[in-house]
Amino acid sequence: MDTPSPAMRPTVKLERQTGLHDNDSRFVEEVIKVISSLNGSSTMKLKVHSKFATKFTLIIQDPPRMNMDDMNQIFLMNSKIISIKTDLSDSQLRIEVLKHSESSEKKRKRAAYDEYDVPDGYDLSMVDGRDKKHIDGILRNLLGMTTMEFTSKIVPSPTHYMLEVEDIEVLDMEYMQEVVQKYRAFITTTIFDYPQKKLKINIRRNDTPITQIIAQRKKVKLIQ
Amino acid sequence: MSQSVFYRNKTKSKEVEAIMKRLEDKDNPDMKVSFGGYMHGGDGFALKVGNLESITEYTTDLWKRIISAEGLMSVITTDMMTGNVNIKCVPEEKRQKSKSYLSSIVYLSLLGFLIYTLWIRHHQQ
Repeated sequence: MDTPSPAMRPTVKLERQTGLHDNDSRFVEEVIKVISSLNGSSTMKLKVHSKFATKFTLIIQDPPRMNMDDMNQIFLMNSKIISIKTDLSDSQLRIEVLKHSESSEKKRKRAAYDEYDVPDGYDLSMVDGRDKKHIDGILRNLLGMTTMEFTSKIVPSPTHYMLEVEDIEVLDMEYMQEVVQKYRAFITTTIFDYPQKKLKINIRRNDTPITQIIAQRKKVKLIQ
Repeated sequence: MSQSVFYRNKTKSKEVEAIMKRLEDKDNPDMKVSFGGYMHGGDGFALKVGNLESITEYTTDLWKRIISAEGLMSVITTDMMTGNVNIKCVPEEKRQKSKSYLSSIVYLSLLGFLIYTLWIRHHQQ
């Protein structure tokens, strides 16, 4: 997570939204507080779409750079989140949530998509033979969760490869979580760089020792 | 230094330009049709339609006919929140040629004829 400035204490006050319960308004305020605490959040705009009876959508225009941990924080803040979608081309973060009166029995669908073989036009000549397998796998997953072509670049470094993706269509955060989890031994950071309209994935080289593995958060079951 | 893995093709093909031109609507001058890019592996492309006041069955049918005339199948998705329409144009799945139907008919008729001949011979004995 980008380090928040200690002096900054975001105060968010929402004007009463028609169709939003106090709990829903509070959630919106909390999300804004979390995102506002990140560096580069001064220009973002908020839009709440609450016309529908069962759900509302929180649209954050021009959010700051966010990483996977920041996204996970939002998921943990409300059990009624239906989906978090990120549109890097339009610099938008969309959070779809069930309204307070709606029961969250309808569980979120398990992320499912088919991997798509890397087309012939992809040039992975800059990737070392030992790293081709997992980089190819990450690309196959990104291709599988989207339908439209996107531009991709690799910035090689002695320890990592930085995969930069531009012009990518709307990404479902659940799918992204699945890829990061699938390749947790290789993906060290995932950055949603809204100002630059890029998705940046830092991928460890096979000959670099593992320092940290992103562990999947497990649900805690309370026994009374 | 960054090295390109794949560069997204943003150039419109003749087919795309032809469809975009035909989608323009004089009755709806504010409507804006833009190119959304190609699909992975070049299997079709997407068009984005914005500034639409209303959309009727007649409009979608007309769009489908225009796209179908270019030998493509269309999937039209309307986003009611943004008021944009996304049209995905994909090549039509190859239909079974009439020749293969013809050969099946010939084989079945031959089989029927042979069964009939055997049945006639059996009854003659």
